[in-house]
Amino acid sequence: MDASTFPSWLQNTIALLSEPPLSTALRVGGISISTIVLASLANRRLRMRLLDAQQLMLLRRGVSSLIFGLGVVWVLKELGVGLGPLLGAAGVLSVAIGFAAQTSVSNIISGVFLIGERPFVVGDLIEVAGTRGFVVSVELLSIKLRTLDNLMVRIPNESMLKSNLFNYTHFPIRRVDVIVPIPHDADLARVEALLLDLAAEAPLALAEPEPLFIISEIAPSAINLQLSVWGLTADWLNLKNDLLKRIQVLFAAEGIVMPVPRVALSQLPVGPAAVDQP
Amino acid sequence: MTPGTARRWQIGPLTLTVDRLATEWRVVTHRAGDPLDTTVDDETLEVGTPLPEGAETVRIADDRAEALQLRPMLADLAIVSRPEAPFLIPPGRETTIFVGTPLWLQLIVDERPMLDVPIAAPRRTWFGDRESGQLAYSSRTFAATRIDELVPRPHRARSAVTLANKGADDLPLKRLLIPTGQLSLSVGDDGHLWTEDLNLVRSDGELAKLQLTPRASERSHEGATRVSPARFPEPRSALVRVFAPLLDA
Repeated sequence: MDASTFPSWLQNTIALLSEPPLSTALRVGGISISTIVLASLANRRLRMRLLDAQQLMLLRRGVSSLIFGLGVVWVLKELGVGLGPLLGAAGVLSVAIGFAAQTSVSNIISGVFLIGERPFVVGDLIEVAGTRGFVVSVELLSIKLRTLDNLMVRIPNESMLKSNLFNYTHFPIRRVDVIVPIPHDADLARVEALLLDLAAEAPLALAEPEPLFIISEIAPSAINLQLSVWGLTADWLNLKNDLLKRIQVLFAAEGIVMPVPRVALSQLPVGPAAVDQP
Repeated sequence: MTPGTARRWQIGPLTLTVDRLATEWRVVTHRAGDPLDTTVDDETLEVGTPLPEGAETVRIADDRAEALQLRPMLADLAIVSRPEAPFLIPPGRETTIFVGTPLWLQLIVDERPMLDVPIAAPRRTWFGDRESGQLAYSSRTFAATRIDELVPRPHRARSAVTLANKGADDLPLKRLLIPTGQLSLSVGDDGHLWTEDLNLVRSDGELAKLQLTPRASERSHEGATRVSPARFPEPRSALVRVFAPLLDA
């Protein structure tokens, strides 16, 4: 199409826009807007079925950062800014920034390791450094937990990587251990049979893995037994409560009295004659 | 059942009472006594008959339907059947055992399934290892090798399981997973409920080939009437993972 056929006002507008600095500003503006839109789209729309939520988040952030970085380089090039001096300055700055941002960088790197290793996923109940809660989100710098009493706790990824982590919901089944003290003179065989029958009748208890009866300790005031019963992880708390209730009812019905702490007292004679007593 | 009527069925240990009210069905289940009870009975009642202690009630809103059907179904989870005594299959040998599996009762209103009720409440169990596996129901079996050794029970279906040991060592059968979700129920000429035959071929390694075949006619099952379909129909032949608990070694 021949521009000379355009109306004169249009020809004048095109001529104006083609002259720098307006043309440069238009190109820079177009590149910036495109970069922002593309980076935003990558951050929100990128989906890959093979990745879980944390890995997808990392990929989205990485792709959008890359697009943003390329956009910045392109804009600088359009503005005529040489990248050489900038990279040189960045080399000097990076040392200073590195010292200032080492914690953040450490958290980011720890976050990448955590996402790759996957010791937990969003929704798991975990305990780390004495804090127990459900994983709400896994970010590059930290994870967020919701405690059982509904507090929000932010734990830096570096701390996660350095600490022992307990994941209560990783496996589908979990064992409930109940400590049952009985008097020293109780019939152990009878109590064992009663407790194993009780475990068989608990609706949340699994037949296999089979319940365990363990004589845990012969303590000064009692014999401590351990009844271990397997259940689904999701049923753990209800199973534990149910077992304890049933044990209380059972012992009351069978006349098994819970032992109380016993202390032996001996009376020593008083007065001058007591001094010569052994 | 027209509104204002009630009916009660007893099948083995389960007592099922259904009240048809003007705007709802009220289904009451109660299990008491001997889980090996073989009583089968039914009676008409007055609506609102007092419930025994421990009964569970489910109410379903419905002001239209009147036709109620009860249909036996297999369990909604697989059954792990454990022989009462250890059972050994030498290498190169094949044997057929007959096992009983617990039944569920499905209430169907106007040809639409409304409720699934286990006749005898089975124990839940885990089939697999402590890190992965599946939830199943636990059942004990005599692992009869002849049909006449099976004790007739109205609340249990029968399955013929052929086990072929093509491995190099003995196969101790400690527990067997019955994939009830893939099995249907039929009434044989002997009046009992039967599932498809299961054929398990165990070679060396973890996988065993499982095949499901319709009941053989020589086992008094010719002209069998299909009673209920499989809950989750699957291919008739599949490779199944043989964990230690499946054909236990």
